[in-house]
Amino acid sequence: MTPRPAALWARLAAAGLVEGEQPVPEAGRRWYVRLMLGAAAWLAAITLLGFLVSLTFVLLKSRAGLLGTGMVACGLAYAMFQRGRTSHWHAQLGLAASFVGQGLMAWALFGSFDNGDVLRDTTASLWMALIEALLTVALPNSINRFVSAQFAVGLLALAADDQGLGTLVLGGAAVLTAVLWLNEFRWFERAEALRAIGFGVASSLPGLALAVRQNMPPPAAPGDLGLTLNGLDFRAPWLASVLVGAVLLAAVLTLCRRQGLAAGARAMGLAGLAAVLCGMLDLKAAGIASSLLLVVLGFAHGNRLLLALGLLSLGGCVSWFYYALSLTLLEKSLWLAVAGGALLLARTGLRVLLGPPPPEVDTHA
Amino acid sequence: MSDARNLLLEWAARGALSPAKLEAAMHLGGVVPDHARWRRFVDSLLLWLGAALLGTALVFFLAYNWDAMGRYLKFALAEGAIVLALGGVLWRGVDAPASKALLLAASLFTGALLALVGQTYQTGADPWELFAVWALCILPWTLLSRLAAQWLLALGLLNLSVLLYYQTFLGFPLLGALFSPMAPCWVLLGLNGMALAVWELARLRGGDWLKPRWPLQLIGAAVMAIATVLGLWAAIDAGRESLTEALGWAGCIALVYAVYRRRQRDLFMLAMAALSVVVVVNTWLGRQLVESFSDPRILLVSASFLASSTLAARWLQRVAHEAEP
Repeated sequence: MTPRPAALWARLAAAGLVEGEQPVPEAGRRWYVRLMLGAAAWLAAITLLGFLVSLTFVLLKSRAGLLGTGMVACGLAYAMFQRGRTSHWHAQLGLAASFVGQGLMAWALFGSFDNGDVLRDTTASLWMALIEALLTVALPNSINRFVSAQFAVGLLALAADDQGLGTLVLGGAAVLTAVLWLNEFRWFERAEALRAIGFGVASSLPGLALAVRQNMPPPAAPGDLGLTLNGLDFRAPWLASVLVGAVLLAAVLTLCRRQGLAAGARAMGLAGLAAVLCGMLDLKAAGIASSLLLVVLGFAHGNRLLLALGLLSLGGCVSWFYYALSLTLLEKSLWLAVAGGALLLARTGLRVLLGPPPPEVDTHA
Repeated sequence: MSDARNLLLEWAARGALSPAKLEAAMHLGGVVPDHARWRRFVDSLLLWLGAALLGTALVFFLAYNWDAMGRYLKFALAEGAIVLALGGVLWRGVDAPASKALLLAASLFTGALLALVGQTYQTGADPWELFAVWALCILPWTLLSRLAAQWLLALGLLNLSVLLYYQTFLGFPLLGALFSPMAPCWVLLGLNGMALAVWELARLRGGDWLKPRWPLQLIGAAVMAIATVLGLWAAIDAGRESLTEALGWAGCIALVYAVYRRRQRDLFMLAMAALSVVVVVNTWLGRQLVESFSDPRILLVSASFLASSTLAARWLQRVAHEAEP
């Protein structure tokens, strides 16, 4: 049960954590208000962009012109965001200007021009990923940071996948997600920015896991580990699961330590074993480990949005598994049955070893 | 847990709570789980995930194109799974968490069984009938389960059934003439609106399982999305024929305002309604003012999008400032 604001404030005051009057609530920080503001800014940006494009300015006919205009728009966005820290109007104007700027720069990099000037997709993706990463850091607005972080990760993965390195971007995104969310309360001075980036990276993680696996060639033969004469083949399907599984294991062990469990404690060993099992399931059903990482991080910090994202991703990954071509439906069915049975067995084992979980007590009445 | 978390983060961001004390406050407010809550979470996760994977395994197994397996064995498998799940419910008692998982699994197995019937006997039934019968079959378990996810599954099946029904019949020349293009939206709006109203009423006198607001907000978001489609149709068509759709959309907004502003304050629902107003009103404005993208009056529409969303955010801010009930 969730305590009411006044009751929560009173408890904190009694514990000496706060003093004085309870502040009045602020709606602008809620995610659904941000969703409304972001959607409206996107629509405004689309109409603005349409207008600019239809004018066919000389500036918009060359890559340099488009890039320059896009940068000016992002500069304007920065100025608006600086003024818009307390004003929704300035923040909205800044958001629309930023989206227009990003659209123009993307057009500059991915478009083809009359003089035959066309960039390779990998080069364009890499440059755009860099621009999005810079905008994530530089533009002080949560909605902008969330959107730019998503684009940065997606574009970087696109560029890396062309070189067979998509797996490394997936691993990096998993590490970034875990580090940002595990330290959310510790790095509070920059918490708002880090939370926006954290949501951006976390929300792209399950999709990235599926996309990376989709683009991998099937193993040449059963048991093929993807080791080549030149070393490790980064396209090997198991590598993605091992990297994300290792991050999941590290996150679980960190959370166990925070609960005061000793390194050799039985509960810690069981938690670690569960993380390894989930990583193994990810070998066949891609995205399971990424989704469970979000579930665990979400629960550990009372973050219902992250938890819901993880649970939805889990459902999505199982649906994707149905259509995966690497296994027959019979093999998939056996994998799922073994995994489901193992989880239920693990639950029974935990209850035998540690006893049933203590019942919930409502302490917030 | 999330409301307390958001409050604490907000208080810390506004300087009312020192960042150094944030972690302690999160523990005290019950946001960061203790040992006991971790145990309950792991227990539930293993139970639900395990049940879901086993249920999905059976569906995959039946979907496999078996040549060697006769139809009776297939039916025995699907029906056996349902009987086993229901046996488990009888054994543990309907209120046990494991029983709720078993009822949900039995509901999924029923879908697999119905698909098997259609596949084996080539009944000629349309897909919408499969989902409607599926929803009907699991109704008794849904009533018994006292589980939000089970109710949402039944509602989702009914929605799917309505969509598939219209997909089948709108294309048929004779029957198609009987339906307006917006007919599916009206039926879906009625269905989900009724579900929302019944759930809200039940919540007033129901047990603990009805207290969380997330299922209501999920259905509310669906209602607002459907109403927005009606509103957009009216805004783009903008003729007398679409007056009903315009009135329907406006009625929905008025109802959401009356209920969630006046009776049961819910900022999420109000934010969804505000987004709907911003999108529909500005689309109508664009339709009235602008001929093409090169028309400079489009800048007015763009500014209007920004201004109206800013006003909506300020209004939500004012509503949030009102004292908590």
